[in-house]
Amino acid sequence: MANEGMDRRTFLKFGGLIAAAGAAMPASQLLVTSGMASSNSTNTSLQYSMTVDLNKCDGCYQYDKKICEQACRDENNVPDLQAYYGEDAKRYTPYWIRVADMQQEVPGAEIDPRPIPLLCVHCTEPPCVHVCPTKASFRREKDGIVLIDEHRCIGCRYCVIACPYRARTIVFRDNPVPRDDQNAKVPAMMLGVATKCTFCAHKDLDAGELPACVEQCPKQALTFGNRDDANTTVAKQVASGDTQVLRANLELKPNVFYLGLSRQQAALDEVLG
Amino acid sequence: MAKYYFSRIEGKSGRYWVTIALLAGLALGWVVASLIRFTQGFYLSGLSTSVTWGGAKVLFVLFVGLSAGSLMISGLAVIFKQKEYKVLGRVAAFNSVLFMVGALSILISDWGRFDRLFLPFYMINPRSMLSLNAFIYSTYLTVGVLYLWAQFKESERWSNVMGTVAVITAVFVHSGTGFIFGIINGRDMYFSSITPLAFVIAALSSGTALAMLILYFTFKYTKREVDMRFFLQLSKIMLGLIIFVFYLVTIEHLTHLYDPEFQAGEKFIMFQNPFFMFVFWIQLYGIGLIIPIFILFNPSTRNKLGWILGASAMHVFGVLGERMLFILPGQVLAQPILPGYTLTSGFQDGVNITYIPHLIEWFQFIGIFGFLALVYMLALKILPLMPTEGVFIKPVHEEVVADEPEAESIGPAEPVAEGA
Repeated sequence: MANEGMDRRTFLKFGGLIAAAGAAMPASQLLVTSGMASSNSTNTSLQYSMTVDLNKCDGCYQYDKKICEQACRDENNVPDLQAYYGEDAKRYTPYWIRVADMQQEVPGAEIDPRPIPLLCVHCTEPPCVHVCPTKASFRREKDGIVLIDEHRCIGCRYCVIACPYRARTIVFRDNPVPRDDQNAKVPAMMLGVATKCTFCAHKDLDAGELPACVEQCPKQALTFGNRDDANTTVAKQVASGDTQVLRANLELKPNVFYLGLSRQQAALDEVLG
Repeated sequence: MAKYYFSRIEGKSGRYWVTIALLAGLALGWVVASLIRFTQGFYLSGLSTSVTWGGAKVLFVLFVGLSAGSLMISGLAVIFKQKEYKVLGRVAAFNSVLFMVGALSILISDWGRFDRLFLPFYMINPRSMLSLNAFIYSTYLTVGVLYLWAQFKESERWSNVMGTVAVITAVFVHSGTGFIFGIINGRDMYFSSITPLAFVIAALSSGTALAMLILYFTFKYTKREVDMRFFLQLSKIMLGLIIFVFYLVTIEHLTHLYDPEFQAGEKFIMFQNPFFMFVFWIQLYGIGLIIPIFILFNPSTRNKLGWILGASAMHVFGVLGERMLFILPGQVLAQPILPGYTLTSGFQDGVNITYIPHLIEWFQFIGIFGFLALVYMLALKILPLMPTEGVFIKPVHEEVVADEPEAESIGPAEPVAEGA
């Protein structure tokens, strides 16, 4: 019986497509285009940082909305989808900053919850940047802000998984607010890509402008500035040794610091009467 | 060595074309669902800001694994010098490429921006496992296609070379896929050095199991004969692999149970969440590991084709569960942003999230199976993948023959070529 082989033409016809997908770039390019140098630089003379004073933050319980959350939404075109589409939209509503209630777990004791603003902590060793397959997530060398190039993001969501602070999400749905009613200085959110806090990088931070949440906090609980400049409030607060970072054990060197995470003496005195 | 002959199936029967039409419908469902999700957004899926990798990622990991098993069967002839397996070489090598195509298809159709398909090839981040995998996967596909070509050309030398290269590449592929998850130190449920190894072994065991099922049904429905001893031999390899999977999965979970940081997650899977309890105890351990091991050990069942195939199907189902445990609990479980505190917020901090795939995802999940089956059935008609005559092997282990005095075979006594 004659064996049915396969001529080259037929093979190419059916195998060509798959082979084309495997036409990998020379491995040398892998080395040349290394992104390690740019993303891991730690010696910036400018490192924007934020401190959150939990002794001052009162959670805005007296208002309908958290002021910092709303300021961020208005400034950065972050839609409150839950407000538009109801309860089901809660699972995919993006937040760049959110005020959570934290309640210390002590067996046998019921400790009152306290508010804590949570946002991207702009790590110096950001895992989101390390895992991004297209370098869409990057740490800006000049000021240490971690940003996303929306035009380079493929929406794989590896960064969302890798972030231990839940600071990132994907854009699940288009912003229902008409573009004309959005802040024209900030691009509209792009569907299907990752999104997160930028420290309001579109503002002229170098000239002293402040992120919207910092600017509008009624209790001045948030402070923003260059931590590499010893004269700034942020640098002094951090240097005081009273600040803490979240999940310090991961050694990601976050740049959002918390004051009063463990209640300070004054606050304790107040509680104890 | 015996010379084997291969042929295409005729594929003229009405039943063949009805099946093709049905599968094409399912594949179209996958394409349409993916496009709708792409244009409208992920809100149509059951995903959330917490569970951002869902069923599509589970299938991706499953398919990558299934690709390995097929390659192993094909590579047996090359690496382990089991010449008899050469007869299955073409179809098994084809399936390994096919499953990899399936894995990449479901992965890419799950991207938020799959229109940027080629970005990972020129915006390379060497620190990112996904970025490296883009090259590892495409190398694997290329090698797989070349291996298949070498077999079509009937070049024994090149078949051996490419088969060896393919098996080596496969180790990178499966370790690389395991590393995607294993290197995430921010999530307790993911971070593990055993993950890549467990991934490789479960890939081989489930891949072998599914390859056996596919080969059996292909031989049966194309009215070709095959010696049952193929399945007997493969089932013994599979048994060894399943025991290894059992061992790796068990030591990983046991180790985690001893670590206070991991305990919450392990308790969540084993004792608290009803869905994951089912997946862990029943789907993975019961159906996926213990019952197949019992079947393949028990003298009264281990040599019966029906039982072997049943055990194979159960094991594939079990490994699907293992893949789910791989991917989902790490996201469903509330992340400990502030250890020692309970968090509550509008962003669902501190809450264990429920993930239930929505309709559009089911279209994608079922559709991708339809797409793969469609390509497989068309390939049988277009490419000379299947051996023309009945497939027999010489007895390798005398005791196997003694166990099985009458070698059972599938199909009619006289080989009928050009079936279906």
